[in-house]
Amino acid sequence: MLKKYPLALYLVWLIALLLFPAPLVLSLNLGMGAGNTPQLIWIDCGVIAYAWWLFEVFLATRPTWLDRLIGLPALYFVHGLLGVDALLIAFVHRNFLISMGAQIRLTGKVAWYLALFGIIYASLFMSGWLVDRLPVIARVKTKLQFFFKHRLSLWIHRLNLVAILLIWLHVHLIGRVNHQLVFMLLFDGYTVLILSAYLWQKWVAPTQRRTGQVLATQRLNERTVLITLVFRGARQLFQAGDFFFFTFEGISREAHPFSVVNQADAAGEQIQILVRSVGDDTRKLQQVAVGTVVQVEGPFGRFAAIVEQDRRPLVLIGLGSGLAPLLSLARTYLGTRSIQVIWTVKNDRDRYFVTDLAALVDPQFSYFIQNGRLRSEQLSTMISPEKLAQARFLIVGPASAVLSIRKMLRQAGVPRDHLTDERLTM
Amino acid sequence: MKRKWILILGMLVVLVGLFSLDLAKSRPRPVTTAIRSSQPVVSRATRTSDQASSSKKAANSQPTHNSERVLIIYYSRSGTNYPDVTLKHGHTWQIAQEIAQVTGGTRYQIQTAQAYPKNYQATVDQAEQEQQDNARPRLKGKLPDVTQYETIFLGYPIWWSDLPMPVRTLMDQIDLNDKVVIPFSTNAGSGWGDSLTTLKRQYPQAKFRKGFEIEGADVDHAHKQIRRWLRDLGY
Repeated sequence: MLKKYPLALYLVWLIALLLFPAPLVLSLNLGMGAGNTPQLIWIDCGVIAYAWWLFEVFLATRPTWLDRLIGLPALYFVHGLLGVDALLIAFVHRNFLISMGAQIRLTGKVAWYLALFGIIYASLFMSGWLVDRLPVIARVKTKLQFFFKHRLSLWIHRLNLVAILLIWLHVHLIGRVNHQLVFMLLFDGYTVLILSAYLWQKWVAPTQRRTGQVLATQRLNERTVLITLVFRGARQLFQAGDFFFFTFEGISREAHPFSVVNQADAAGEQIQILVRSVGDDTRKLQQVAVGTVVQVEGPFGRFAAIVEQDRRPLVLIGLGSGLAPLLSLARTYLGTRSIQVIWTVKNDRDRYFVTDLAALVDPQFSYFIQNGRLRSEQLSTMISPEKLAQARFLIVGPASAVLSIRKMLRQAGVPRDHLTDERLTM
Repeated sequence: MKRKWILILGMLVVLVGLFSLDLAKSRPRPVTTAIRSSQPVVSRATRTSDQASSSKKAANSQPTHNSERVLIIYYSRSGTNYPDVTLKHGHTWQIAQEIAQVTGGTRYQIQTAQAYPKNYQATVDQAEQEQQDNARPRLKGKLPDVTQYETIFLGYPIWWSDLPMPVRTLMDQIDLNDKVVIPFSTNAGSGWGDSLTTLKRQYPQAKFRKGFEIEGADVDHAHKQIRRWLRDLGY
């Protein structure tokens, strides 16, 4: 069972859940006299919740080194689940611990309700937990997105920082806690370091990021554009199937993730990305001018690491624009092993990569393009039994479709640990 | 580059500021309300109007214990109280009254030399400060002479999860080791808080019997509960 995820992910959970809060809890318990203070367990719950919230903020800085170890989707999953856990344990704290100070109660209460709102909002607008699985919720989200656009959602999500500051104040107001010197030094140290890391990522890091330019654009259809970016003097920009967060000057101040389409090349200075119009910023990008300055954060992704951990044949299933990173993988690993690409599109106008696929010539390479979704009975005719048992399957596309393909593959006998996916939650 | 140094410098300044604040808060403040250690301990209990004996009332209740050997010491706060009620007599006072009626014991109410503020929140803040400072607020009147009593009922509200500091003042001045101590308390949902630990630490030789704790707001309807508790204790 432990083989299902990289060891680093288990370590991240261990650090987040136990090791990170431990110094805070220990220092407080030793200071207040563990065993002599029955109420301490409820106070500890609050301390643990705060530590988890801080760790969540650290993960929100999406460290590239951590992405390479566990992958950004897993990192976001830990980020989200820690938030839910923190909220639950904070509920225990506020439900069982009685406080007499009006300001202490007020700051704690407001922070808790802010965190509760933050979790509900993020579950709906920022994660695929609900929208990927419940079509009703997905429809509600689509309607509400008329007003709650991505940029506004980001700012609403940042209210969690206000909740953290309120909790910081809450703790400083509690007389029997704020004179525990060791605990308070650690508490303030943790807070300042984590918030500084966050500020660094948002305010300092952009000035240090690699800057390039739009070299060329190619309209593939009315909603899709292929953008070629150049980063002069760059070496080893990315690995196959990676993605970057891009900030286009004059388009948006928010960074958006796009996967690379081209081959990973040690000497390459260029990145090609596929941009499909799904929101305000991606709509503007359809008309981006050549010469526009671009900042990149990354690269992120674990596809190459996963592919290179063995010599299994590859079955790459791209759903719509989800083919982009898989094309990068196919181009990079062509000739090194058996590769089968399956690409589903809505209609003929969306077959913009057909010539690119046709250009990949190798006896071990094959591809199949279909308008409309895959059906389970197709899998057994398209993919040989040997491949179903042995190959590594990489699936990229809209989250609900990816989940459905995963289910079909599992039913067709593909082992769970041969499946890797990237879900594009819109 | 400029931003990098602004952030590093800002972070250091904030850290130094916060650490200084933490250091300042951790230092014990001068305890202005502490009782002087030279203050004499009153040798015997004085029955003031508030300490009026309930022996006569209790005569009909046929206590199984010797009522002359029972002392009910309590601290109670009247006036504006939690949650937004005005009390003529505090909740703890009401329980003490009930105990006195059943046991026929003598009541002794702990009173501070300087009354707590009438404003509830101000009292809360003062109580917190006193607890932080480990203060011993000066008491009014003579302390009871506990030597003549065998059983001591000790009642108090829970303040900041512990005993109010005026009770600690009294505890420092009377020795309840070798006595039977029966605690009772009122609270706002925190149960005993840390008070039993504090009591046992102060009187390791005392024989503690089953106490009674209740939320203050429920005291008005706790007549039967209190009677049952006392009956279980043999009264």
